[in-house]
Amino acid sequence: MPQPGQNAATDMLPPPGPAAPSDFIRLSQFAQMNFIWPLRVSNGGFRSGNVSERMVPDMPRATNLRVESPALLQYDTESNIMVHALHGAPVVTHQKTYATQTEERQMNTPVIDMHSHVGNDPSNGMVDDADAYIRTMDTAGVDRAPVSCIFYGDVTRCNDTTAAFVAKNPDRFMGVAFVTPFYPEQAIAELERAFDVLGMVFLKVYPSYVRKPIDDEAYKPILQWCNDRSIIVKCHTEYMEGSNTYTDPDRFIDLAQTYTNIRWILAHSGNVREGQLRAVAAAQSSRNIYLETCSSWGDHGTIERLVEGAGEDRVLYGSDMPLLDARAQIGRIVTADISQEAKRKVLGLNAAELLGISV
Amino acid sequence: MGQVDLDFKPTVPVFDANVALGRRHDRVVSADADTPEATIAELTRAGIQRALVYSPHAVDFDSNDGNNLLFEAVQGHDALVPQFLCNPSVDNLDKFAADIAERDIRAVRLAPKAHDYPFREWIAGDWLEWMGSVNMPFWVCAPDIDPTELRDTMAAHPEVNFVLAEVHYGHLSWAVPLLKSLPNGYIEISRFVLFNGIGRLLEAIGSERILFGSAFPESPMAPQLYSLHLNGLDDDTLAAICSGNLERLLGIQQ
Repeated sequence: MPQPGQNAATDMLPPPGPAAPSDFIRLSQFAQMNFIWPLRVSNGGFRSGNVSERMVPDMPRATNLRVESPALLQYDTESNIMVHALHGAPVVTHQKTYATQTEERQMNTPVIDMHSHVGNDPSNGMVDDADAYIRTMDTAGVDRAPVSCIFYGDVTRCNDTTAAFVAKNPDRFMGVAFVTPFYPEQAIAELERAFDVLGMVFLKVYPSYVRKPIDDEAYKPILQWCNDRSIIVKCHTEYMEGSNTYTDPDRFIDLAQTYTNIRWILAHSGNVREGQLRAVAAAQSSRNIYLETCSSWGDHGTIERLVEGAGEDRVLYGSDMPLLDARAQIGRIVTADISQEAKRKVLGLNAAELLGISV
Repeated sequence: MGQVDLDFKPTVPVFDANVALGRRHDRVVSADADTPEATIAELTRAGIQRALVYSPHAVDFDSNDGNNLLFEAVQGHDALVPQFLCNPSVDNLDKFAADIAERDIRAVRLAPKAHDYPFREWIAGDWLEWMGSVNMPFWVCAPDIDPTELRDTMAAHPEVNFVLAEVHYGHLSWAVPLLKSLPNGYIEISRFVLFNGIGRLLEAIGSERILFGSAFPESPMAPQLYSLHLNGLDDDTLAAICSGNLERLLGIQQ
């Protein structure tokens, strides 16, 4: 590892070549830069695509970085920052030694989005353009997202849509199965296909579509199958006075004690304050209930309430992409009044453990 | 591995365009922020310097009573800039205008559905004429107004700037077309958390009509601020959305 002040970047660079003035980047202009070239950062495996000024917090505001080709920006724990070329192409660099506390500020654990979708609902602004999806994940710092399609009446089409979407970017997405109890003779066969053939990692159900509560008889064969195979089940939840109670978090208390091999994820954690209080009570009643965070309403204190009530080990970050935006949903975690360790757990460590992803 | 700044603070000055001050009669609000001190403490924690504040009592019951309570509460707190409610169907325009001038109020707020009146020329016309004459912008929440009434009425008053607040994804089908059709319309983005929402607004209406707001204390102050900092905006654009556009609208020196 180069030492502070050592001109390591120059040493690592190939010979200079012709400049490309249009590629001039001024770091001082951007809190977050989106590089237009393939760009990788070598500090602890940061994903390609984004370099933040916060990575070098003591960099003078007037510092300019000039990069003129596909480049590798390298940053090490000895506070050196280096830029050099990818693919043998030339670059011009600004290289300087910076004292920094970046290791403490930057999160170095996985970020896993436990509530994402595939499919389109244009009147609500929801379009699953994969490139835009991944760009937003990159900007937000999201590593992986299990996704489900819940829009077609034909659940086979739903799961095939999910599988095809995942297949194009298997390092970023994982498939989540979807079934409904409308066609019970098909549900178990589709579950077997989804998990054994398509490789789905858990099940999503949405009783509000079906207009049957989650503890309705119609769901029993599905839940029994999941219990027999220790499948994770995520279910939309909400509770508001005056609305339907199909997914009232209270309903999961008995279910979690009946189907003890299922690890339950209460999507939206009840969604608004009244529902959150019920979701927390449900989580307190059973160790196999987890609370997921995404919401378009986002009551003040939600994240604090969930972490305090359910414990920091059983709260999971979710975004509802591509309906909602991952950046605002991560912002709810990052800016919450909880410990740094709790933020790390909520953003990814808990999900990694739940999904069996080694970190 | 995830690249997330766990210690986020805004990098530009921030002026929150949507904060309520005072308890609500019909529900408990999550934040313990019914006093100016508590609200300012939350502003400080979020790295926000100022907030435009209104009285929920003025929305729910009595605009005059709520405005007076608000004005009294913010005295001595420069971080809290008061915004008065008006109810064109029952309030006295001359008295309201005199109060506004005397107290140096820079923005007003309307609540047509809460106050149970149609936002039509025959109700609000005189008030809009007055707003235009004194360069007074008004705020209205998207759930609290009929979009056709807003579009038709404001098309006839291009000299009056208005801010559509608390626009949710459920309003997307009409809110963005409305803002595109009315250059005197602004948007406050506390509830606009839909996928690539900021990018869509920039494409549709540009950066000069976008205002950061939080809808505190119903919602936390900082998540949308965090999101704004991750939208690839240059410092000038970020600063405009976070404070400059609101200052310009209020006629406050930058």
